[in-house]
Amino acid sequence: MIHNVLIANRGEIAVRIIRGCREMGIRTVAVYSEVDRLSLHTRLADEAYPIGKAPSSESYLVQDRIIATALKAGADAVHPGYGFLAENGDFAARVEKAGLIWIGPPAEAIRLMGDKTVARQRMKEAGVPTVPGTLEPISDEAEALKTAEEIGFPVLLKAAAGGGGKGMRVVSKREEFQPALQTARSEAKSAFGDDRVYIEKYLENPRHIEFQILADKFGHVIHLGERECSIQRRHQKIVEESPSVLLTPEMRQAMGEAAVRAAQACGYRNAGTIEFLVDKNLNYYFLEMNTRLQVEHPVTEETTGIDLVKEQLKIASGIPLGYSQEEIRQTGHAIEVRIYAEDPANNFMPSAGKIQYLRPPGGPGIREDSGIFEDSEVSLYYDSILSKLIVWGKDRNEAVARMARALEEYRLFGIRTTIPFGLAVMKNKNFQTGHFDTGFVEKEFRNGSADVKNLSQIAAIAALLIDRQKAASEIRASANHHHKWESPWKTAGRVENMR
Amino acid sequence: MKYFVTSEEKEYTFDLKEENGEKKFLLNEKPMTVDFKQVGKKPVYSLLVDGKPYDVWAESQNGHYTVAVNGQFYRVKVENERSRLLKQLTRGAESAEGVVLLKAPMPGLVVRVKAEKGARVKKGQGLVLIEAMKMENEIKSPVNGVIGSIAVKQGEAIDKNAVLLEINAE
Repeated sequence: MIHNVLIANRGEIAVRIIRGCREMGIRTVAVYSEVDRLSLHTRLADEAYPIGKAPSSESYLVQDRIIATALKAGADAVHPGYGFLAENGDFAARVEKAGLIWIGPPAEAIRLMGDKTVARQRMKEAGVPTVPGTLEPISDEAEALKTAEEIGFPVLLKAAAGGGGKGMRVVSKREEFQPALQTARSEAKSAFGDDRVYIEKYLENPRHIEFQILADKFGHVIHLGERECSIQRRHQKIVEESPSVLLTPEMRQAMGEAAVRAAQACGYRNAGTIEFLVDKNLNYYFLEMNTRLQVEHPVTEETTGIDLVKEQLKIASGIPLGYSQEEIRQTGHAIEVRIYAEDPANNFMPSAGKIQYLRPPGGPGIREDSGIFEDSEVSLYYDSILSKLIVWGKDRNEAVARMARALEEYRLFGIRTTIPFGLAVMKNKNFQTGHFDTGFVEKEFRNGSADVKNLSQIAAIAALLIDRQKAASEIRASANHHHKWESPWKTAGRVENMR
Repeated sequence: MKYFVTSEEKEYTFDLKEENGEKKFLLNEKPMTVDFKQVGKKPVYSLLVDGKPYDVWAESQNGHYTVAVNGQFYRVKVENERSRLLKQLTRGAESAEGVVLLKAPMPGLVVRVKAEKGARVKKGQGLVLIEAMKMENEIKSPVNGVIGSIAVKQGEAIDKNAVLLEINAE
């Protein structure tokens, strides 16, 4: 069994991994950048070592330093979390070459799934439905245009090395094809150093449904059901839930089996996620595989009762899976709302600074995976996720009501967050009835989100009282009196008398 | 004493008075009960308005308050009879709408300046692109006007509240 894990990450996910390790009696080594000296992961781990300056290119992405720190600290394994180096096949290979266990899939599986065209070919061979389109990158423009017409506009041009929406272009008619191809190529080149682009049928506002899988080194692969992740802003998930209201038991079984085949087809091991798009006619298509632990993994943990971080550690230690597919049960309903340091009333603009006041919700069915605390600084150097609020309920109605209740309870002052946005989603009729797709945020919150500014009168009262109290304390200071706190009424009179 | 409080474009008139030792708090002439206590030493307050509790956070800057009530943010200005009168008297002396400084809402890196000096811009038009937290953020013009001097250039690292450019408002 692994006994000492270096966690090559920060924030809430590093904390999450430390917690899993500690419950299993496994030691943890944290690494931190200059600005993360006081961060929670640095202080919760068994050991913590500095690895460089604030920009991730000078700390959390410096492979040599991370591996050297692991060896120096006597770690026998590396957990990458998500983001940073988690889907870097070369790093996975280097970790193993250094004699350390990589808590993730084999490097070849990461590389295979990282190349979108190779992944599409492999999926097709394994009988996993893929979005109609080309299986090879575009080599000849005229040929490509012909293919686009066969598929039927609108089509999507996507970078073979891609991800995160970069090098992606929607082409709605013939005339736009050639210029769009050029932009997609140059964007792909600058983002990934690889200008290969391929064509897919463009699905308008599909739903995004993914399946969690677990695979051990003995060839056992199981799935843990789905997560519905259609509520997105800027192509980034913000609310996730399990189960999905869309899936029938038959569809769940078919998609789950396809996910297992997808994992088997690339020689997968450890925890992974197969993402599918589902169109209006309930056809599902393989989108991509995330070869790591997902941000939204807690909703699966809450509905199945299986701790995914612990499973990752066991699989990486060479222990066979403790569950068969038949033993996996989804119970109740779980929802996650991601709390980002962004201003939902201002186009999700990042908001950095100090968290001055923090009072998270509690009570039945609430879980929070967070990397923040009162007086912690939110830096602009990293992803803006602060925390993940997860609720469980016996059914979807209870879970939605519970999440709304928890978000109403949540107090975080000092910076702006997506808490009011999450609340607005929970109160949205179409969300409540399950009528939504990936176009939801754009449709429902077109005019700025969460602008339920019905508390303007309360804000006015508060500002007046604070203003009067401030005036009173200024008078006290200038008069050098040592009065006790006075009511705003008295001071209102006193201020006037002094003028 | 009368106070005029503007919260997100809505104006409220308050009256704070003490009659026969009894404190009165009137909003638009209607009495209400308010109670207000600070939470520790932070700018956080618990407010009870006619029995209903609210958690409030406030920050003051240039004579305005930014107030968060539960999770919602408001921009609030507090004036009393005197300061309002003073402002009305001096208004004529102030220059017209004048120069608006576009400031950075957060520290970051200038990715692109999308306007040139002398260009006529519309309210809401994107002027400067700033990268922070791995995302690009468009800073928009708050007014209609003409671009004056530009204080930043592409690739420059900037602090929060750094002046990006001037707009001569129209």
